[in-house]
Formats: sequence, C-alpha cells, structure tokens
Amino acid sequence: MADIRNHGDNNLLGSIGYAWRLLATGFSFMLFGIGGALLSVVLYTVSHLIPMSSDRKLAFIRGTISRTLSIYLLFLRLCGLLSYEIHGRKYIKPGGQLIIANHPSLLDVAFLISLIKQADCVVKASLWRTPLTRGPVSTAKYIRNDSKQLIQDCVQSLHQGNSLVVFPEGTRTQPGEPLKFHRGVANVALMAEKDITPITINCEPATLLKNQKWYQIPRRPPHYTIRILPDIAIGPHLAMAAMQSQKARRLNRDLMDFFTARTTGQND
Amino acid sequence: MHTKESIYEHLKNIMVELFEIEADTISLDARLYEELDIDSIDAVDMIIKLKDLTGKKMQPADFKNVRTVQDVVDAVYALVNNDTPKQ
Repeated sequence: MADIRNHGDNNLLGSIGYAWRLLATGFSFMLFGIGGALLSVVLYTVSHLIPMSSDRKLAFIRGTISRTLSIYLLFLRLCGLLSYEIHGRKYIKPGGQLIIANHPSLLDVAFLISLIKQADCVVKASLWRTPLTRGPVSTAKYIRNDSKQLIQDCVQSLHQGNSLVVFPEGTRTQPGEPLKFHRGVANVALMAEKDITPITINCEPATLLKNQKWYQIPRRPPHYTIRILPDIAIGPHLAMAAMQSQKARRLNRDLMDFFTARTTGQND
Repeated sequence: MHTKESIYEHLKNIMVELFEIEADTISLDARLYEELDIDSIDAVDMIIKLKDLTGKKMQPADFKNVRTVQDVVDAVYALVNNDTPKQ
C-alpha cells in the first residue's frame, strides 16, 4: 500500500514533482466528475430529444464516450500523471470483436473504450447507481454485470455486430494473487462462436488499486503498456468432443494461462 | 430403482466428470453456486446427464429452486418416483 509520506526522491525537485502530481490527481478526479456530469447532460439530450434512428443514436453516444475518454487520458498524460504506450492497434477491427483484458487499475476501461471506438462493454452494476456515471452507462446501453441473462446479453450484442469489451476477472486484479477469470467469457465465446481478442494491460508501478484512496499515488507516475494481441481461435475449442460445461472450463483455463504468462509480476 | 444414495453417487460422478470438482469436496449440504462453482450453463449439462441416467423427462424448471447437492438429489428422487419435487 502506498504511503503518501514516503514519496521517493528526497530532493527538492522530487518533492515539487510529487506535490504537483498530488494536486493534479485531485484535480483530475474532479474533472472526471464534472466531465461525467456534462457528458450526462449531452448524452441525455441526444438520446431523448434529438430525432435520430436508435442505431445512429447509440453509435453517436458510444463514439462520444470513446472520444471523451481519449481526451481525458491525453489530459492525464499532459499533466504528467501517467504515460502509456499502445501496441498492436492493427488487431482492432471495426466491429464484432470479443475483447478481453486483465484489470490492474481503475483506468483500464477508459483505455479500452477509447481504443475501440464503438464498444459495448460489460460494466459493474454499481455504476448505474453512481450519479456521475449513471448517465453515460445507461444511455450507452452497456451490459450490466448483474443481468439475469448476462451471457445471453453478451452473445446477442456480438451477434448484432458490436465489439464487446469484458474484464473476465470481474473486478480489479488483486496484486500478488493468482489471476482468476469468471467462466462467463468462455461461455460467451463458445455460444457466439467468436474468436477472442486478448489485450494485456501492464501498469508499473501499480496505482488506483481497489481500496486505495485517490491521494495514495505511487512514487513515480505509472506507465501503462497496452498490447492488443492476435486473436485466440475458438474453432479448436468448439470442435472438442465435450459438453459445454467442460469446454468452458478448458477454454477458461487456457485464457487464464495466456494472461498469467503475459502479466504476472507487474504488481509485486 | 433409484435410491437417494444411488442418485447421490451418480450425481457425484457427473460433477467430477463435467465440472472437474474433487470428489471429496462434494457433500450433501454443499451449495452448488457458491461452493462448487456450478453456473446455469453447467446446470443444463447436469440435467442432460441426469436425464440419461434416469430415463425420465427433466426440465431446467424442475431444478429452479435447488441450492444444494441435497436439493438436486431430492428433486431427482421425486421426479423418478413421479412425485412433485419438494421445494
């Protein structure tokens, strides 16, 4: 757990840098709140008052959220709060992709939604209860993770041609714990017969963990390395002579091995 | 003729085979979802297997209210003996 008094470089310059980042972090959380409120107003207006076909509306709303988050991430980078590198953009297709990623930090969903311009996304149900996020998540018709037919919702979204972003861990990674995925994604991939596009997110040093306060910032700005990797083919799993429950377990294990091999050690 | 004991034994075998659960973690009072990590898709497969075993018609609705291994055994037993399953 980061200690705010123990801020690394003991020289003056380091302290100023740290104080600046602390201030800017507070400001960027505030900006997120204000941005969320403004975005809610804009999206509400578009979805209720502008006459447009519902498909076009949804595309506009999701596109707007994507662009807003891109700008927000750029702002964080310009403030010196974080840096990032993104590899493998060529593996992003215009739609119909099942995209899964590990989940080391609070900003992961911002990175993914900004990368994939028209993403559908499985989102934590509590964001429908938080005033600042309720507007965007409800007008964008993202999929709630407490849906009674979560798997069917996901399959349907993919069949409609959407790209769907899912964090199979269901919550942020527990540093030091072995990676554990829910089987839902494996079931979605098998039922929708979709290849899986894996995205690995490494964040060094770890920041914005679960149970951390906003002011518990790391000694140096975190650097995100985001890698979009070639698809994992679902064909061999579909061809296996086994029942769905067995296939899903095997696929899920393969996915966990895949991500464990590419992300371990990042949070130690 | 299926006794509750034989149904339980078969059910255990199904769970070990399909769900990769260690046999000794299965007990009658084990909760399916929370303790044994059996989800609704697994339940469908389990019902297919139970149908093969008993030769009885079974619907997911017959198992709507099951929570524990004991509940499944009771539901199957009731179906096999043509009773309405106890809830």
